[in-house]
Amino acid sequence: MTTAERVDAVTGGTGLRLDRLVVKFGGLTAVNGLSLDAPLGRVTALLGPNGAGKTTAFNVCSGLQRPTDGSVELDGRDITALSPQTRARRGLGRTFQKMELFDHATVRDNVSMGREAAMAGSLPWRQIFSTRREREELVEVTARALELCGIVGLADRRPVELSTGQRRLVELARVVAGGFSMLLLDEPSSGLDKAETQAFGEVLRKLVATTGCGILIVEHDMSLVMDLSDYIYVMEFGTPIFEGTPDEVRRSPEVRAAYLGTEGDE
Amino acid sequence: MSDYLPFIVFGLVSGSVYGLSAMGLVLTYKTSGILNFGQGGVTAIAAFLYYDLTRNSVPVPIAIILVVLVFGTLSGLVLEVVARLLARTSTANRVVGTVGLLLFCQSILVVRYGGAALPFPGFLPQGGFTVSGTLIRADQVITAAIALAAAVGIFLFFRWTRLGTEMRAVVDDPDLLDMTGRSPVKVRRTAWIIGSVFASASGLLIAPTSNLDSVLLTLLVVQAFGAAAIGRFTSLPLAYAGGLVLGLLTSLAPKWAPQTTLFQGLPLAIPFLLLVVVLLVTSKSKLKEIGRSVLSAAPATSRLTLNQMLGTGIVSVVALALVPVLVGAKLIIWSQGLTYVILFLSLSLLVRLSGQVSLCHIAFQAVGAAVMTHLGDVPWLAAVLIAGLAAVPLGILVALPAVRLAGLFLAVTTLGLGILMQYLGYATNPLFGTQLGRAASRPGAFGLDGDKGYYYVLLAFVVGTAVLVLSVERSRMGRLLRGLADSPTALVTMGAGINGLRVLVFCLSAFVASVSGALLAPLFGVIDATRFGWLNSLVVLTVLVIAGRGIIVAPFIAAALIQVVPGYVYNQTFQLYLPVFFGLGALLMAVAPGISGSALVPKRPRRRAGDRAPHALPPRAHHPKLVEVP
Repeated sequence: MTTAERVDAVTGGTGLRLDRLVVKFGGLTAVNGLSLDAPLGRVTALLGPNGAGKTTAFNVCSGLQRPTDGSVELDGRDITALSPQTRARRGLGRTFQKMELFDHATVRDNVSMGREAAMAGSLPWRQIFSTRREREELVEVTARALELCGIVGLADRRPVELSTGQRRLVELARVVAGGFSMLLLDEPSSGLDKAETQAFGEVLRKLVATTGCGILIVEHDMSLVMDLSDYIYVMEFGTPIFEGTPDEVRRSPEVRAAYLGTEGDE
Repeated sequence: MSDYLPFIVFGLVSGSVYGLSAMGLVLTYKTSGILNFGQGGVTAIAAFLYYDLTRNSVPVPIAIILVVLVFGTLSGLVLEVVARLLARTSTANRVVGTVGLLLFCQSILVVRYGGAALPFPGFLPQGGFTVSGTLIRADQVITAAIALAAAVGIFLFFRWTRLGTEMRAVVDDPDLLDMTGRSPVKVRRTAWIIGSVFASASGLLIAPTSNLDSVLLTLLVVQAFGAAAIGRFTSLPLAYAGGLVLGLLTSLAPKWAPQTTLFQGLPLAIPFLLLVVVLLVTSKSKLKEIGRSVLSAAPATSRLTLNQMLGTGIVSVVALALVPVLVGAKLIIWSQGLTYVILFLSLSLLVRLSGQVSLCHIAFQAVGAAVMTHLGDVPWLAAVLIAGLAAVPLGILVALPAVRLAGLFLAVTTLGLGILMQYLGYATNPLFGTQLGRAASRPGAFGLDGDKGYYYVLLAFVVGTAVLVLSVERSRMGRLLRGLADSPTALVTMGAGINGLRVLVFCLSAFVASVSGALLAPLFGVIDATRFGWLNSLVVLTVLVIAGRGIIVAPFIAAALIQVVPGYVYNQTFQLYLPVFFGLGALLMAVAPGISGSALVPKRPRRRAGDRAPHALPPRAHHPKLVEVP
């Protein structure tokens, strides 16, 4: 049995569901009627060119942005009105395209905070003290997450010293340590070269296989999602234009016309 | 009605000046993102300058032109540079910088003219006319007219001139403006000049009613804060209207409030009350901090090992324990110094660990000292604890409305609270009351009430507080606070509630500050409110900043700077110049990172040899936040 297999297994739940999501900024409609289903145990992708409204949709999922209309459901419960921290405590974790790392802490402390933030929650005494049992749990969870993401060797470095690829892995390890049942990954392959992207994909596959968590990836780059995803949604200018398996997406004339263009011929 | 008319007239006139001052504040804030706490300093210097010029027989019209236009323009030019450098730093640093400026201006006036108020010659015609029994003087009409003209003028300027349009553009998107070939710097410079001209003019207009008192003139910035709050710190017409409202309220309040000495300070408290109300009722989306958000860098965890720290600590404590043997009659200075170490440790916890700024820590100290004098019958240790807890509700009162919004507004409300406490709070019976002085007791047992014995009690409290701060730094709270400084967004999306955390650390800091007051009170035969003036809160903040970044070490250096050194130097000039140095020092320290960071190429992150880092990101200060954290 590998260590990876001992990462917290996800039980129950149906994953994330968006229902006719609309987000308007003044006169601009950033997201126009997006519905999607990202079940647990699967990798779902939201694909679209830059400016398609993907990150906005993500910010609505994690509660950083209020939708104009529509709803967000996690494991069958409406979470549209909940704060980001409450959503996180219900099992929704995310990464950022512009990585939000704690640059002044070591990689180990970064990853550990993935779990400790949720332990701290909003109650004053929980934010001040940690129990011995919690500290033990943190050490254990952190070690597992570092190993699963293959960055044990970086544990004592600080994120400012690392390459983008390594930083992406640190951010991933942090949400892995958080034990979230549903992970939202915002353009994880941006800034990575081909080999790094492939390695990152491997880690994700291993993660889903061992924990059974669900993953929703937002990407504008095809290479990572095409062979990793189980199901793909495509957006353009805020509007969903197609959904299907990677094969169907590859064959779809709409997607080809709207988005793939030259890249599709690769 | 005619009962009220004199008050209404007076209120509208002083309100006009508040409005003028507030417009200057808002204009510069919305174009540059720097809320200028030092504007009161500009106002005060302008009034004193006019006084000097006319005394040296410069004709009045020329003096007015020299003060309002020449001095206003020059100070605007200087302020724009300061603001440009501060804009590259964190919110806490911006506040420290302009607070340093305020302190510098105010204390340099004290050096030059002494602390006492001087009579200010009225320069506007005094004649007038009577409306239903109330005399309305010409100078009042002219003052109101000037402010109104300024308000209308600035409104038209924004609507109809190209520069006005550019000023609106620089608020919305400086980068975009830059791309059209117009320099945001030029536009901001104009804004700072107009702002400083308004500030200078308001100094000349308010001085005839307030006399030349550097503290009172500096306080005009607080009235401006109150008025600007009504305009949510962004609307010029509303800031002007806010000034009028504030003027009416402060003028009419004494008429409605009970005629006791307690309420004499009410007019000065109104801007603060107004501020808190506005901050409470305004939704987060309507009151955002302007300017590129730069997060304060989290303090790197100490690299000393536990043993090294223990060693340093023991050596320091032994050295301090020898002090009573060595210093003789100077012991009182050192004892005061120890209470200030505790005060600075509380401030250090707040500023260094959480990146928040408090401008009312002396008020917390005062609460502790005052409450301590009431607890003579309570066991001594319990009394200290109770006195410490007494400041916590106050901490909640200021922190709760402010943290929801942003660090900047916390600083504004704490400044307001400090002033409210001085002019309204200290004289209440739970605090100092109206007696001339109150006594507090020392611990009775084991000879600890002697001067030497009490020194060791204080030393024990210093050690205890240092341990407390260190353990907070190393606890979960410390980790969360450091995380908060680096990325609040990451923290909330991982499940930590951060607003509570901010209030929590603020209250903890208030508690420790209050304990320092409780320990300070028994040092003297009697203690009264005079040593807890609001300006002292600004002094302690600037001193802490000057003392360095060490979370434990800086408080000791700061306490030495502010208590021990002046206790040994009898030279009065030195004493007078101290706050000048503190203000200037803090201002320079605050702009320094802006200077070093002003290279066009962002600094490359430090990397270890052999690392392959083709896409390494620049340090975080250089990318603005995409999302607002609720």
